[in-house]
Amino acid sequence: MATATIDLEALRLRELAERRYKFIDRKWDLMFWVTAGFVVGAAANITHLLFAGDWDFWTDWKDRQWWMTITPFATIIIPSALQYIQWRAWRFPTGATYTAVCLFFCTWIGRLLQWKYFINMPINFVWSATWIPAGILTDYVLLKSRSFILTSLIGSAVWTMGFWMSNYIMQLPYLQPTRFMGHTLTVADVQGIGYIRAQTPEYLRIIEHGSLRTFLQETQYVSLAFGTTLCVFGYWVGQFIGRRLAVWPIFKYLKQY
Amino acid sequence: MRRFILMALTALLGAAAMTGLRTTSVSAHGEIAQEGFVRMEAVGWWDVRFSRSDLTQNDNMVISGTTKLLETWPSNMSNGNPEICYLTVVEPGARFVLVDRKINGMESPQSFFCSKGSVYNFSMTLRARDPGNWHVHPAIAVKESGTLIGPGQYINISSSPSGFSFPVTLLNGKGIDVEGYGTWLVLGFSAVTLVLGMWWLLYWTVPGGIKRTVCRLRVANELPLNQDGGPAVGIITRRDHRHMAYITGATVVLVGAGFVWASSHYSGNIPLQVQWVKPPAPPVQAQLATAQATNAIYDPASDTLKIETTVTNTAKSPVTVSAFRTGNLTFLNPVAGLPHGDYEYQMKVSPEGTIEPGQTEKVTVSIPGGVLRQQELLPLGQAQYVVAGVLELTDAEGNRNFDTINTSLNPTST
Repeated sequence: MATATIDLEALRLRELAERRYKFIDRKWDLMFWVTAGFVVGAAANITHLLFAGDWDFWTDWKDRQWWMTITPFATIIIPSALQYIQWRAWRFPTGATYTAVCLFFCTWIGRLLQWKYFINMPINFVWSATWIPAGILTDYVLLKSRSFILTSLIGSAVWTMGFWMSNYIMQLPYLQPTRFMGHTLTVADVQGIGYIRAQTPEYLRIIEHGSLRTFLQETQYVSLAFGTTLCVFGYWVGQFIGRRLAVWPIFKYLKQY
Repeated sequence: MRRFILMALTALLGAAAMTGLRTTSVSAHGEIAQEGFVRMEAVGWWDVRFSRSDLTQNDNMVISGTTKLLETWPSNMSNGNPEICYLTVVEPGARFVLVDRKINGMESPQSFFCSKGSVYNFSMTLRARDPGNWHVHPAIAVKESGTLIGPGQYINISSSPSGFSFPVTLLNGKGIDVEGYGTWLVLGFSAVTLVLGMWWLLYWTVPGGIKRTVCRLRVANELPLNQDGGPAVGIITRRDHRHMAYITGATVVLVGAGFVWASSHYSGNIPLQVQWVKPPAPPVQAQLATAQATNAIYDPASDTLKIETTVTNTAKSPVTVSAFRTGNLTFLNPVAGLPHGDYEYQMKVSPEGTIEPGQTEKVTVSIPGGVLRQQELLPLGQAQYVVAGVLELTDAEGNRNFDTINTSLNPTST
């Protein structure tokens, strides 16, 4: 009897899911996803710039300590909120990837228009990191676990590691050593010295700061572990935004009518 | 819909047109942005020279000169004690590439440890990058104070058929052009990740089958948050799981293989470097005289700033007050030399003539107020009514003496 009830309920839901709306579907979908793209991209970009702007802006800021600690935290907030919103509304495991793709377009349009074409900074100095692999892996964790608690724990580690590994591939050429002005420096350092940023003196770089000099010089892995921990916190900040500032007010409003 | 498309096309055309608005000449970049008393009291500049004013792409030009963190450094900047400095160039974007920088003869690629009262003889070699007419200044950035700009000059860069290059040799012996190094790896890898991301998103969002978002909203509202209804409901199917596993697998393979390839292809990498230096002290300058400013009077009626100074000649030959330097301006005594360039002007010294050995004399230096007002160097209405700068004294043999002076500013009327 119970099985029959469950089957009937599933059947009812399935019929609802498969109901065809003649006109509203495609236009609504297109309008929603494209319009939301600007909002999500802007939100992600602002959060990113506020918390981790310079680290992700110049190759000579992309260090093994602070870049990997700050950036995953700063950039998980909006994907987490979007994961909640899109999962809550449609059971789409797409929030992190969607945010990463929107952020990709936002940052690259900015880098190409403002930095390359307007003031001719070389794009290999101001390239944007990519969050898309990290987004796919984090969304996959949500899809398989269907749990925000597990996604915050496993997904944050996946987000941090995915971000590091995918961007390290692009950063590696700029960590090659060279001799410049009588000093051994990386290519990224040479870029930072050569391409003059008049109001961004070198001492402003927050890289290799602090006393993290133990752990057999493997500071990068300690930074990644710390970045993951921060990322868990950032994930729940995003959940708060998604649950309390986005979805909850909508339901509150709808209930009034 | 047609109207929407037209508006979108217009916006796109506008954006495309703006990309063509590349600048070829810029002159304003905050030379007078900081308050007058800050520029007067903080840093002095002299003997700033630009080796060339016309270049072709890839040509080198040297900016040389001397800068000093004055003893009158304001107490409200860097807690009155500057410690970390960065000698740089102020220009409208990266129109030049800095290829060499020496401070007191020492190679200084990054920041350096500095102190109040210290003198830094510098040279910066710039490689011409972008064609155009650019206004270029030497500048010194001081931690927790900002960038203080020296006298500048327009430099013209002509284009070269071969374009610009920034050659550097890696420690492994391989020569690279920093201008484009690694660009295709960045663009290519980013593009591949975008393809994967779009694949993931389009799979879920493109209408068709049961993936319509409107329908899913109704169903999702009736399910507990941690349930998707399973295959029976069908908003997430086994096919969906399989498809997502493919994309995730492709992502893992891309990142893993890329990581292994890049680690072996770009082996021998090192962390970003922080190599701050402490330049040696410059040769000790001749001590010819001492100067002490006692009063500075600004008279709006005659538009003149008069600085009263007591000068004592401690040398064995007569000395002349030859120049007064403040901010990025130089005021020259016509006896000592005539102004040239955009940042040099004449001043009057009374009494005229020399100060004899052992003699102490009251000297009044008169500076045209128009120049100071144009450069917003007169600190009227600002937090410190102070005049400061470097008084240059010269003897008959050409030996030069630089004394920092400062005194309160007293306008004759408001």
